[in-house]
Amino acid sequence: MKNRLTILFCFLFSATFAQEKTSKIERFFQNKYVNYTEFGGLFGKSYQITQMSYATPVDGRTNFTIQSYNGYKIFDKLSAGVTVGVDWFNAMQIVPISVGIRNTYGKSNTKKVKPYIGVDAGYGFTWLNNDASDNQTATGGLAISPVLGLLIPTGGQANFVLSVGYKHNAFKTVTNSGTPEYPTSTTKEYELNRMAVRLGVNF
Amino acid sequence: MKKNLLRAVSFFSLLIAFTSCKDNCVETNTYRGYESVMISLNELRTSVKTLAPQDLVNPGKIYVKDNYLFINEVKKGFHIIDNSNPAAPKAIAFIQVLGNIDIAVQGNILYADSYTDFVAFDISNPTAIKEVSRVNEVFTYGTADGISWSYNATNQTIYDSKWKWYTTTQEVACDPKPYYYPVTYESWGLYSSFSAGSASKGTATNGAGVGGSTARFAIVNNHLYAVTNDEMKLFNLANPEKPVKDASIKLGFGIETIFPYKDKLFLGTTTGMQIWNNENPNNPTYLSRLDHVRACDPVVVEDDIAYVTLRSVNNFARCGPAIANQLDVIDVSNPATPVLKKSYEMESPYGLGIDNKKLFICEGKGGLKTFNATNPMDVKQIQHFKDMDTFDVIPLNGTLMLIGKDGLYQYDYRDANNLKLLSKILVKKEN
Repeated sequence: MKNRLTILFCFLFSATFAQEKTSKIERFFQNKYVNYTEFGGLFGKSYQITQMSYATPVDGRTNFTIQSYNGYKIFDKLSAGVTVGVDWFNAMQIVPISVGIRNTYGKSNTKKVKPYIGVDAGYGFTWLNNDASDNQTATGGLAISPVLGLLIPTGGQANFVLSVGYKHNAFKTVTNSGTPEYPTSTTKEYELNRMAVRLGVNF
Repeated sequence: MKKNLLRAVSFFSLLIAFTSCKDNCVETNTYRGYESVMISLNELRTSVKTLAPQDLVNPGKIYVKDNYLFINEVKKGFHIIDNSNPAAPKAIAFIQVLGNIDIAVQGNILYADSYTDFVAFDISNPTAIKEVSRVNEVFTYGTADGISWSYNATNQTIYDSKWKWYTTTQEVACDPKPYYYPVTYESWGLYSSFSAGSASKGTATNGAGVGGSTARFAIVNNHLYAVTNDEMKLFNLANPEKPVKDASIKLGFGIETIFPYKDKLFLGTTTGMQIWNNENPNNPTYLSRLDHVRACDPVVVEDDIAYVTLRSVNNFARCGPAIANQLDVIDVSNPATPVLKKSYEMESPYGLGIDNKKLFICEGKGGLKTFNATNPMDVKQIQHFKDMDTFDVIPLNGTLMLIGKDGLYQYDYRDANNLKLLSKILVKKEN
């Protein structure tokens, strides 16, 4: 568990550590490397369904999300890479690891605001849920996130990022409860569909 | 062109994002509950049949008579196994007896319960077993495998249930909340005891076999004692083919097992051990009791030392809220005043058996443990066989017969320090 987290963070920050080593790597980062690091909220709604009936109120749901996209420029405007993040849902924290693309529009060196689109698709892992009880197992599932956003120049190499998108996360828990005489197994399949609004930086 | 594409993509993304941002959570519950079963007396009495050997499915108690081993198939009947060579037991037949839980044999006659009836079979030829007589409507209710049945005399119907797996799927709120399963109220009122067995080598009289003292049946001096939850029913076997119902003696509730020893009867109950004086087999009289916290507890006796296991059960209704899992060693040299000598901690003890200071304890899912009880004040564990689910054991003439949810295992225990597996008959797994 700890190892996985360590690897995850090393991966996230490897860019920063590696930058000073050789000029070749430096050039790679200047010319080919693309990073979008964002945080924001996942907004959605959830019916308050009780065991007996559909209760009327629909609750709003807001959850925190962070993610970092590390990509390689295939063309001047199109890059492909890997996105790693954490989504804090009420039931569970999900670590989605996805492959994704980002495509910007407009001139590369412009000082104007540029639109971009992107999509990430991958698997949401449940590694961060140490507190799940002994008789519960959690498995992750599909994570998809298409976004469109704006790159707002800061004046330097970097841009501010403002994006709006859709986020789908699926995961599942299996809980074995009851006594040996009266065993009970509960499988709960979560399908969370949210609107994602994110702020961040791009370089 | 590109602009149009961009617009289209944007439009659809927005559409998806804003219209379908609803969480969907589906919960599937799988739990074990009951399905009710009704059986008429007519159906019950015409159900008795000899069938070809069957696989073990849900084995219950075991009983040994000479070279034959009888394995109860809970509420279905019993298997007859030719066990003249314990290394290669051979199934001979299956006798279908609805509602059968207990068996006892004396001479060539096998006595079995069949829900409310008490049935005698002639087993002189085990391949062609015949019903010889039947005492009608003796028992009014009972419990096996966690399920109670009852008999309604007015409409002559037996009301029983059987286990069934239920699966329900429903949409639920996505945030976990405490959830109360239907089974919690379905299971109220069960005073079960598929109680653990204990080998009653005790004082089986001439010609009687050996059972797990679970055996709610015990045969002593031409009398068969059948304990129900609250009564001891006596049957006179003077004419073995025609057992006659004798007295019924009120015992209090929670009676689980009977173990005959010398001229005493030891009853394992959920609240303690009772000792009854059986000098006059027609009329056992109450002698003494030793109470303990409520728990499931079979008892065996050897050399004036009674060994009682207490098992705590999560399900309150079953045997009580005991938190102890232990083996109690009780001095019964003076049966009027039994004295608790020592307790040993156990995992989850079910049945037990003792033969010549070799003590065997079934630990349920924890398997089988063997002990050296040469000094009852210092019972030492010798071996532990895991990966078995065991609940009843009979040590007899060097062969240990062990029954559990997984099936029947037989061990050679002549060398108590090193049990040898002779054979096993495994339960046929469904699906």
